[in-house]
Amino acid sequence: MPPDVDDGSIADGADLLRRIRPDQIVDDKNLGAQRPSSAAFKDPTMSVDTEPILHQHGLDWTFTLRNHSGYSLVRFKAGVARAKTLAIVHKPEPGNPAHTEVIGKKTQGVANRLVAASTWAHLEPL
Amino acid sequence: MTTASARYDDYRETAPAADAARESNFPNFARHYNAEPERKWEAAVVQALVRLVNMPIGWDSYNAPPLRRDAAHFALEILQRVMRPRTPIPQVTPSAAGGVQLEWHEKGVDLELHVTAPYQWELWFRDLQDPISQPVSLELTDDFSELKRPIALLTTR
Amino acid sequence: MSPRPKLEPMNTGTPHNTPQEVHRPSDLPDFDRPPVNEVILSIQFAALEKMKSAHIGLLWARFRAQYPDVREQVTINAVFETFGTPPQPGSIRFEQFLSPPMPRYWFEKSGMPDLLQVQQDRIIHNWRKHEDQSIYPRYETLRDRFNTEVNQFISFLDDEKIGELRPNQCEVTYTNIIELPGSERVHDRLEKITTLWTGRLSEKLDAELEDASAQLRFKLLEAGKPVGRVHVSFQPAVLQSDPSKEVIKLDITARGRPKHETPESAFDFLDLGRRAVVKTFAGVTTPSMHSMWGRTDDNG
Repeated sequence: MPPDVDDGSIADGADLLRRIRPDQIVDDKNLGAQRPSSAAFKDPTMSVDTEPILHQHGLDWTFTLRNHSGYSLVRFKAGVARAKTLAIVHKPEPGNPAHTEVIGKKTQGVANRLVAASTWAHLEPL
Repeated sequence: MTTASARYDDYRETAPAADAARESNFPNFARHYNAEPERKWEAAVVQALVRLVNMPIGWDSYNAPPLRRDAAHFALEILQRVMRPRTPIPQVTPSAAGGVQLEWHEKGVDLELHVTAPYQWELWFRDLQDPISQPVSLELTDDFSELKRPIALLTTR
Repeated sequence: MSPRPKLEPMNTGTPHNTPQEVHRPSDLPDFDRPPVNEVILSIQFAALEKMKSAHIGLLWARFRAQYPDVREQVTINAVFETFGTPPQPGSIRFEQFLSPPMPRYWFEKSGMPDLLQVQQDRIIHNWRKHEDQSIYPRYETLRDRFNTEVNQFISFLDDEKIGELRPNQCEVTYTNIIELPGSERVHDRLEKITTLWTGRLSEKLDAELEDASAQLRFKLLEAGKPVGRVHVSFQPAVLQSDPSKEVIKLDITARGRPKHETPESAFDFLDLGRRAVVKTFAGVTTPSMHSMWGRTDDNG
């Protein structure tokens, strides 16, 4: 198994896509908007799909949501994660050439930074 | 209450349990001194925690484990210690790390309690109405005193 | 994976129910005839969700020579000592809404004082006084027995790939049954038993004291920071063999979180807890009772 090393092959400006379950969406009354909970970003080896790699294979964000009815989708820049000393490691899987992991401990501060940097690629009506 | 005692039956207690004695002999005292908070939040939170404990591995479409029973128990313990009668009910969010997050985002307060195991939890708190304050992000164990101020703000604003 | 280091025993190969010369801290109160009825050493740990009832037969096989009998019991709920907020018990027990976890199991030998208890998140050693036949073997001996059992449990977890033992709470409990000689009624002479009761009321009452209970909590401090609590409970009781004989049941429990989630740290807390229990016992009982129990140390 290859080591979890960030070789920089995914640019800082690359968009990373992550699925969000309905019960991980927060009704933020302070913002007046629905947004992802920071809890959705707490996995130490957080799986995402790298959007430019999807495009290279003739795919788009809908690929990430295939077979996941009811889920929403956020995107955030790889550089935001790297700025918090997280490693971006491309780990293609059978059937998913864009699979990538964002590796490292996500404190509440780091997870909330990822929330702040996220935008909805798709928000499923609740 | 089930205890670890396994004694042989060579004696038996003769007084009622302390709580029962207090309730039956001093009902007014019990009402005022105990002053149990309105517990509507408890049923809602317990229901949510039970759902999260019963989720399968990979419930988030990635590899997240379900919430452990003892972590759920500890999360409930935190709330039982700090919730007051008019504290808003938190959202109970499953965490991709396999824990649970109790969170409030209202009244100019962001408060998140992320629990992964007994005595392993993190606090995130921002008072959006205080322009000079910085977010508080702490890893905590057995001391709940950091919760007093954010819960007071959520309850009284 | 390298083998996990084993806990170091204080004594080895201690047969059950045989008094031994043991090393005891010299600054602790000591009694020839302490009124101990039960001692409980308990380690609570991160729930081993992979451990199922099906594993218990395999575990019991490792203890069967000492404990040929096994019984199922209802699980004990997890307990947490926390600080910074006033006590406020919850009204809903979370566990009642979940499917039952693996039961708690008692490994025992009928009529013998020692008992081992195991559930998904606890391992417990009990010593119980049985009629008048059991000589209290002292903490150091019980600690060694429990140490050996915990090591065997850790080996079992390793061999069956169930998980790692990560202690998060430890408890030492001493239950004492206190009676007065002859026909003296304990509730007429509480001031003889405990330093907490003076017996001097401000007003003469047209009523007779029937019985009394007391609950106390102390914070255990290290370098000024709380590391646990000592819970003291005085409750009235009667002897089953002679229900006219009133006694006082004095329970003292030291409970807290080990410094690290390791078995070694858990036993460090048990040692700390034991010190707190013994000193509290001496503190809440009177010199008169100490004399009756044969206090032998120089600190009394």
